[in-house]
Amino acid sequence: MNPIIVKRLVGVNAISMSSGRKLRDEILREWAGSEKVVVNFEGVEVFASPFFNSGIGFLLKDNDISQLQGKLVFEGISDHGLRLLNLVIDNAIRFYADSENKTVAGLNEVKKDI
Amino acid sequence: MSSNKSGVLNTQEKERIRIPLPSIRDDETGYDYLSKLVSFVMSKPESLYIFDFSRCSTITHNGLVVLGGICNYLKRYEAGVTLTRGFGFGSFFTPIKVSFDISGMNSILKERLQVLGFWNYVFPDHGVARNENYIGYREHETVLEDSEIIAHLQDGWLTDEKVSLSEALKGEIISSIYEVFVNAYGHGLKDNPNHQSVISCGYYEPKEKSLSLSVLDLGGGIVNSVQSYTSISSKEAALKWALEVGNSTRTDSPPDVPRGLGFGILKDFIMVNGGVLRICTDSYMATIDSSGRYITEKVSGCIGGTLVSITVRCDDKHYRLVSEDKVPTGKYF
Repeated sequence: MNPIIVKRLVGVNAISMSSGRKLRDEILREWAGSEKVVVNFEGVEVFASPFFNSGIGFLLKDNDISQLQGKLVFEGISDHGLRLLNLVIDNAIRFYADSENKTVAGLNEVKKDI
Repeated sequence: MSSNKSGVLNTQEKERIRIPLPSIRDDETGYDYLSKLVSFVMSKPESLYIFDFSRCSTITHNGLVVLGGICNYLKRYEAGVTLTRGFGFGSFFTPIKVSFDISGMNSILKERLQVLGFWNYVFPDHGVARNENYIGYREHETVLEDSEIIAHLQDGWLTDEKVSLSEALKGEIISSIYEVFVNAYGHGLKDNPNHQSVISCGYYEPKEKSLSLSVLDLGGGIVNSVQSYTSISSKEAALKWALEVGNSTRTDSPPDVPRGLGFGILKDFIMVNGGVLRICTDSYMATIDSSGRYITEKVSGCIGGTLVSITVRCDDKHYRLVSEDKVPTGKYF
């Protein structure tokens, strides 16, 4: 299993929705055949929420957070990048929970398990 | 603005309106005046304007983007009228739509506007910035490529020669500024009926070690977008809705992709950074207090778009606060 090298995929700026889409496509390509999908952010300098919304947050449309936690491994990500990633996931959980008429209780349950 | 009508003259059936600009600062009075100025000009787009700087001793980033935005709006309006009427003989004698009386302008302000590149776009006859990579005033007609925005910020604004910052804080500042631009492009350039530019003006103050930036779009505004997207009728409530984390009118994304974090990220960053954030849209302005809550208040006029202004403290002392991660969020990874 080879890690996905984000810098090779999108360059040093992980900011736009289109770059996030590239990452998501790559993750989904690896998803079924790998026990873990390793995403390596070494060398990525700037992060912004549209990238994570499209690249990671969107994965919560068809997966729950425990599936993401079981599958994805993030390496070499800066403090800022990691904080943004968690913020995006928080928002995405709420977003998809609301659209499917789930309650925020589900989110709180997830947090308890972490 | 009504007191300014004393200078009104009729020229070729168009009013010529002289507006004596006061000093405009990045404070409540400044934003209130700017909202009235936009309202006034947008109510009389057919008129000719002379902006008189003789009483203006200073004008900050927020004032420059609004003044530039108004000029952009008026020029686009005039171009639209000319297209409709055709390029007949009369159009050769069309008087200048917008002009500036800078005869009474103080020399410091005169030099500052040139260095900031304000005249490059607005009235080049008054002197353009010589350095192409200047920090200052820009008009963006198309959505910049992301790499262009970042390159401009990294290579033009936050270079090591101009600003002494750790790479980590630099990355976080660039990320926050990018969120401002993404918001403006979403609301301002996409589906903008007037095909107007997004206007930005920023500069670094070495003494205060602060970076200030205003980004203006005259594409209708957040309140307008929210009211079209939701059933919220109150303008103030519509603005508050837009500022809540997770709420988005999805002007620039597919409906099934989560959005609505831009203002939340900005607010969190500005709060721990000790900076200033102002969002002025329609007839309301939002700021954040020391505990990170939004305070909204009515302004006297109406900005038919959105003006976002930030001041960021470029000091690594404040970055440690950000790193402490006081902003509450789930920790999944």
